Amino acid sequence: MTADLIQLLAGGILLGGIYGLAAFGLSVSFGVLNVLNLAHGEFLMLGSLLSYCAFVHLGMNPFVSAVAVIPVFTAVGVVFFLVFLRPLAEKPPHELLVASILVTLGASLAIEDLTAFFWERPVTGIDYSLAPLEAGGVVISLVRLLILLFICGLAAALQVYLRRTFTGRAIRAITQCREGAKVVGIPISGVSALTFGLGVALAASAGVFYVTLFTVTPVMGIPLTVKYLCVVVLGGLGSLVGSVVGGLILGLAEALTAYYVGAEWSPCIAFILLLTILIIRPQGLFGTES
Amino acid sequence: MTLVGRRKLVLAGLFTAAVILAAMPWLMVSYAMVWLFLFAVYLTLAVSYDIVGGHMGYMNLGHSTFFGIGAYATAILLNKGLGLIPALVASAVIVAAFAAAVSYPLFRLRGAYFALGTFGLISLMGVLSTNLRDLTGGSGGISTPPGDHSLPAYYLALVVAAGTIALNRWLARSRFGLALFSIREDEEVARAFGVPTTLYKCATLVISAVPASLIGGIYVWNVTYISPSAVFGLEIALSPIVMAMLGGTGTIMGPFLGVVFLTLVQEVLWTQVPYLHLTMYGAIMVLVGLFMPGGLVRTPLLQPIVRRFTAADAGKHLPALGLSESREVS
Amino acid sequence: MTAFLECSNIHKYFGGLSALTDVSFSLPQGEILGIIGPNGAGKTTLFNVIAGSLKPNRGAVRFKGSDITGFGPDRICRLGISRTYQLVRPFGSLTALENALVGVSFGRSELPPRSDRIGQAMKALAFVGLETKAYQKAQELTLVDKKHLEIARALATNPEIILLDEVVSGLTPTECTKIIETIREIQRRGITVIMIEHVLKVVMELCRTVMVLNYGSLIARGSPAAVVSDPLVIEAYLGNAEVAEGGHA
Repeated sequence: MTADLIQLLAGGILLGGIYGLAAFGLSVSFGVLNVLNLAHGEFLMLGSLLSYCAFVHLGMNPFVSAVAVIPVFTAVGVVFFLVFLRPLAEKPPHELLVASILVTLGASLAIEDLTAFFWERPVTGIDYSLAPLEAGGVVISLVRLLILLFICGLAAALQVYLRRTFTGRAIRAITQCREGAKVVGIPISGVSALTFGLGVALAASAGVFYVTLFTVTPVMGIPLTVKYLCVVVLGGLGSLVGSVVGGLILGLAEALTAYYVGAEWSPCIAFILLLTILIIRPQGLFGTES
Repeated sequence: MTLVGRRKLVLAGLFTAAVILAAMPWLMVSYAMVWLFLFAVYLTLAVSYDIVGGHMGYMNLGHSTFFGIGAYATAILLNKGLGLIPALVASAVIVAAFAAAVSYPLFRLRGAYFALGTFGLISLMGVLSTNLRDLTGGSGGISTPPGDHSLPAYYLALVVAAGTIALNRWLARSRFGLALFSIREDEEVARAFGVPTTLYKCATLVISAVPASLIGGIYVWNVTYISPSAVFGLEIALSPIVMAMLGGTGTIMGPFLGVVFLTLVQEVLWTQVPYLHLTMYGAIMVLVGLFMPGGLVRTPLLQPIVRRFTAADAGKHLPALGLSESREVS
Repeated sequence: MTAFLECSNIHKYFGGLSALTDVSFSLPQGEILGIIGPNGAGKTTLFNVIAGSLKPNRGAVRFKGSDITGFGPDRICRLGISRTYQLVRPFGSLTALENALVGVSFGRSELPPRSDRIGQAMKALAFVGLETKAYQKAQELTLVDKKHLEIARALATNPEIILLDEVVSGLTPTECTKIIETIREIQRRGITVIMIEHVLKVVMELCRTVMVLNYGSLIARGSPAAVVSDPLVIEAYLGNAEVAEGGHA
């Protein structure tokens, strides 16, 4: 029973890491663009499917896919930004809200529907395993461990990127004060495009890991985006640590709910967590009072 | 066009429409009645959505949960032997309580976060209605007492739809409506000038929930069957909202135009192409968002007609307290 | 005699940053008080605390003898304190008349009867000379008109105290003179005025008393002439030799 519980928690942590990574991508995009990309979940799904194809047809190892996916989806993200989001850039706030929701939700529906139409199998998963490790009588899946390390590595790399590189600092500058960033000469459009691409790439990368652990269906995108919202609100807007912690909480909560209450209830837990945190601490765990 | 002349024209038009609609069951094939019934459902949902989404500026993408819960509650009560009217009223009360309860946490979100959060309500309700099998019959759904209610349901639906439009119009011209517009424009400032924002936001959500609940109950009474996918699906969730936005969010005529336009498009397109409906919806949404987020009513094409109708009001006559269409979102 | 408005020991922190430190002052009715200080001194924060959009971490605000600390901004408006914003915030797609109407319909302690409301809103607009533009959308007005609208909206609530946050910033000298006259008229009607200002000329002309904030603390209070020659104040505006000559602060 304890071994089961540990496996369960491990799975929850892993899931949480995946959520956190993708949610951070969403949060960082929002900070720079002031537009919430409702299609974010679709990119995780696409990353998953792409990784599946790479695995089945090219024999590509998921860890390699996870890295390969980053430049590919950064490009995809930049194109998506240029086509759908840049035209909205200078609209007044209320119009921007309506327009961005229409555009991103519409794109989301179209992506989902088209994918479902062309992808024959409703449910897909990769069976990728390495020899398991044994430590202290507990069997740890090597795959899961590697994924966890990979995600941590990616998160650490992100932190360094945001703090040390010019682009990273530009991103933070725009998030904090858009007008000021303009005045100082930061190319808002270019940085926005890149940030958006980065956010999308993170989601896709998370998707690569997701499909090795769980199954994927073309219509998972929208509920997933709602989960990202829960993670971001739980953790506090704009905080990387917050997204990670929020993701972990959600992942664990889902795993525990599936085990103790029943798997059919775990989709609900994200929303219940959202409502709870909004009631008791609306700024999130790591957010500041606005 | 003078004010009096315009009033006469509008009244004449409404009277003619009312006569035609009332006589419809005897004028044409029953298909028209079915179609008009659905039209009334979409219209009620689009207009009631727009009270919160357009006037107040909070896009409640989860509006159809009021429809779904109202439908389920009515179905369950009908099965317990309640008459239609008591069932509808009781369901409306339940839905109103639900709206009040979720308004407390959800209104702490703003803008796109609010939209996404309320959108999450739909899948939550879908999961709940699938899992609470004893109450809701699970994914198989439940049936209500059989019978052909299509005629009275048709009239009831039209009455509810007309009533919702009247409610919307009355709100827009009232002091309450002024408060909603100020919340949309700048909530913090509205509060600084005395508007009790928290109370009004909750009240507005509840007000918008009631017509949705009623039409949900009438819907299930007519169709005599309900399931999670029928009332909590993506299409019923998004179509009324897309219609409202396509026509022109925040205006009186907008949602009506949007419903007319999209239901016609659906009729033509859906029958020709039986698949990829959601993709087409998505494409419409993207195009509207990119090129005319203000909706049809605000496009250069229709503006001159709209202006002819409202010119008599602008700057001259201010009915009672309200200030007519001059207050719409630009 | 209880002061009309009194702030006692107001402290306000944002995380580790102290925006207001032990600010205390009191004000008699009918006063025109000017608040000056370098940028970031906490002037608008003080306004936010008085008007209720921020709660102080410590300290109290008393109006006509009663404690109003922590009351919501809507309640404080109805009690008789209204404000304008440094960066104008009109209800953009509403007309000028509707902007004032919000003040009339929600900001007063007593709601006027229905038939009166539009008339009252018009009166507020007429006070600032905007009645000819009553049906224009607020976002289409010029900056000086928007500033006048801010004042009209605040006046529409029948306030006893009006908080003006840098009303003349961004205006030409002619526009400035017009607003000065409007503010004088406000004071003549018996409304107490507190104004944050950077343009010293305005402060010297209008205010009977001036308070100086620096890094969240009150460093001087007195008549305009006295304050402006106070060495502490000059040091706060370090390097700005024009201060003594009555130029920009």
